[in-house]
Amino acid sequence: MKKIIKVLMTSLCMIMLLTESAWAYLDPGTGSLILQSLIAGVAGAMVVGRLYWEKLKVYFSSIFSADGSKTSADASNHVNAERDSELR
Amino acid sequence: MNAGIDAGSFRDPRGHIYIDDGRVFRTVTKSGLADFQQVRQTGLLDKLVDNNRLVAFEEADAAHLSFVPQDVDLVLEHPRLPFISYPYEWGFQLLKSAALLQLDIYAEALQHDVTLTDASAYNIQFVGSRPIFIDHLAFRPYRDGEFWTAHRQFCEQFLNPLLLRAKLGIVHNAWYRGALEGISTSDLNRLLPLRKKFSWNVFSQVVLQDKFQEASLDKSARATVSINKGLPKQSFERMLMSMRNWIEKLQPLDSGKTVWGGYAADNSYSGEGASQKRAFIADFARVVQPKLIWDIGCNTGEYSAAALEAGAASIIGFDFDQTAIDMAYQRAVDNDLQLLPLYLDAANPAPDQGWGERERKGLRGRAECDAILALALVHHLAIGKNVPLEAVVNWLLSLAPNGVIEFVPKSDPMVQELLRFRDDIFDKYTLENFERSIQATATIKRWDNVEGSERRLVWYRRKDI
Repeated sequence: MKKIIKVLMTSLCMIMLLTESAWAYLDPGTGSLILQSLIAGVAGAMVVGRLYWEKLKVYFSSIFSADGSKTSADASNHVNAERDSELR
Repeated sequence: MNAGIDAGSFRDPRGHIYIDDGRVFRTVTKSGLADFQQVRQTGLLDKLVDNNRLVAFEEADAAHLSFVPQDVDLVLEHPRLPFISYPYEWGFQLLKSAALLQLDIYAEALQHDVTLTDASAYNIQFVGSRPIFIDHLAFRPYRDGEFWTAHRQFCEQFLNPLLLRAKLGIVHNAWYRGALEGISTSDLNRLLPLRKKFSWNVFSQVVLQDKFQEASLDKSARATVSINKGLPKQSFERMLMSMRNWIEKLQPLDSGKTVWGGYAADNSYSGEGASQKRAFIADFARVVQPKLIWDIGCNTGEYSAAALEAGAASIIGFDFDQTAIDMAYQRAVDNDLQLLPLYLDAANPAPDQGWGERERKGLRGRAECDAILALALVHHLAIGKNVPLEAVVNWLLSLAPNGVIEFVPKSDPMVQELLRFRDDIFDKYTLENFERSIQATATIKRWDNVEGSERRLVWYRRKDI
């Protein structure tokens, strides 16, 4: 556990700068600021992750739905179109 | 009374609180004026006042106020609150409702492109059981990408004391009273056992925050720090929201397992005795019409409620039992009572302390009450704490000119319980001595024996008024 934290922490410190405390009314505490960046990063990653998870679900449901029902086919087309536009 | 700057109002150079003849003024200095006006124009402050979340304010005429210093361009006047209380006197539920108010105000502020300079728990007070924010200069315009500067302070003053009780069953009051800035994240992290650290919230807010803070003190790590990413507003708002959701769910680990256990049901007299007590208190409140009662040993607030119903304007309840004050708080919320139940060990009330020993006032320096209730209290001090009976009575009488005190004699099962494992060294603990002590400085207006027991209720009025 300690090692994991140390690695995490060092890598975070590498990408952080804390210059803005100059105008702060109180000392925000470096630990708090690093944590906030991490939480923002995790939340961002979760949003991206969820997007891909939804795409994945739609993709598989389109493969496994035997009758090729209209809704899932539509959804997968929509996702495909989105993916195409991203690739372009 | 001469106007004076409030001893607790010195940290923020943008303005100060002055008390002038019982009226409350806030000066806004040149350094704070632009921010205040800009925040005011967003409509945030008016909205918060309308929702009873922020103490009302109006501009006062500075020219007519002799105490106003040179560098002040604006003076506000606020209505006076009935009582100032501190987080180390709040029970779990009060601290929690204050934390939620702080977060709600923050969320509302961000919607108006406003942020807060700090997250001090001392900026929240209670009117009845409702929390209200009192610092109008804690707001300033939000800058894109800025961090939640007061996050650490929020954790130390709200989150950590709540976690102490919710995760470990330890009440925050004694610790908080000693450490006025709250409970540090590193102390909490050391206390929490490994198995409590597996939730994302605890892991991130306590374990990681502590480790990051520790690491930032390491010079070699600090040297490598080189890019500033800032905090997107959306992330800021999401962080406030998830903090709120988490705190809303926190409950004391030990709920239900305290001294009074069965509460209302657990006393040594009958149901008639209780209704007789309520009637006695109601008569007292009807005749005296007190503006502010201190109900010392308020238990779950049953008799406070009777006094309020009979005409008392507001009551501060005190008890050393945490579950009792939480239950009294619930009673106040459910019935919208002007009752604020606080934690108090009557043998050791909050002292003058903080900067200059004046920043946070002792119990008696904060407000004068015009009546007290002390029901089933005297034996806890006289026998439980060995305070001489006469000293207990003198202390109670010194608090207010009118009051009701209940005497619980040695024959009572509750006193027998206190004496069970100890020698009876309390020869002077008698009804005669109790009444004689009262009559030294007060007259007994009325008395009554509580049915089904040998207890006595005494209504006194001090001779010096």
